[in-house]
Amino acid sequence: MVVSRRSIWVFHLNTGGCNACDIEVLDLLAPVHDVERFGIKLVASPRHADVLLVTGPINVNVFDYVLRTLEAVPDPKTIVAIGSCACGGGVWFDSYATIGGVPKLLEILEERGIPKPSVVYVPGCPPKPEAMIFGLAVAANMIEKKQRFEYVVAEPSTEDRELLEVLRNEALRNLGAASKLLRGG
Amino acid sequence: MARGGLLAKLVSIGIATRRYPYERVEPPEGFRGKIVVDPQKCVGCGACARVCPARAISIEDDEERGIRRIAIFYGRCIFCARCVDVCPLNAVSTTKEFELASNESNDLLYVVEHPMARCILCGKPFAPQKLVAYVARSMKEETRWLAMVCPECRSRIVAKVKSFVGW
Repeated sequence: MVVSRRSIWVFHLNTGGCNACDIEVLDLLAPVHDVERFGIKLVASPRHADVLLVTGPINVNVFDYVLRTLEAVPDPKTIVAIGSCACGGGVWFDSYATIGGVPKLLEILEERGIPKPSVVYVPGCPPKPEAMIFGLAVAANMIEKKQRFEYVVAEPSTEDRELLEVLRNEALRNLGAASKLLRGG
Repeated sequence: MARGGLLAKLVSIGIATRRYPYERVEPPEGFRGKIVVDPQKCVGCGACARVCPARAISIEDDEERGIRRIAIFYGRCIFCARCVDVCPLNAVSTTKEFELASNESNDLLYVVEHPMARCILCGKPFAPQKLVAYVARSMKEETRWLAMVCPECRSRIVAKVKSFVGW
């Protein structure tokens, strides 16, 4: 994946979020978290950036600007989607006013034939600053991701199965008794 | 404060920066992190999907395979824990896990599948087997077999059967 072994320069792009994620992003630069120890810093122009830090569900009004900003970031580029709005649309995923987060943005890019950047999703509402550091570390290949697709089948217990068998017999008996009436109509 | 006093204070505080990715950070008490489902306790009633403000928990019935699929998409979850409050069997719980970052949106899915019970009359799958058993336990002994009949068939037959059996 991503980014070079050099310092990651980040351009922060709010696409219509509520500012909670943005305040947490500012936390990253404060002394307690201090992402500059990894060489990560915010830059003022997307042309200097390696990573586009997207917060917010991508409003219809800012969509054009998002595309233009994405174009301005030099290759190889990465999007880091911060917060549940950017990761999947959040509470506004089916609103008419938003396009529904970065996954929908990627679909639109694919439709228009624009090469897709690699994406790192950081869920949370807002995510902890540590979660963002973890996401940036995943983007920089420093850390193995922890979250994986999980699939469980909730099998009924043996008691439940026995009860269902009893119920089936009861139902058949009762319906048998009533079937004459049902047939008679 | 005199200048020497400030310097002395700064030195006494030491380094404020946490060495986060290299050392574990414990979230505070009551932190609402990743939602997990206990598949042993879950009956698949779908109360969590109903109450979820972001529709991060979706519920769909696959009639061909006869399964109910409950999927949590952490990408959309706002970690409000309303599903935890509403779960009648306390099967949903929060953890302190917050390191959910991933480079594929598929990784953010958590899927629980419930085999469904089939209606004894029309054969259509209508509710998870565990939910039928859970509901039948709270019903009266003589009428609990009606839990095996799907809602449509039940409304069709119940008046006739009721007059015949006499309850």
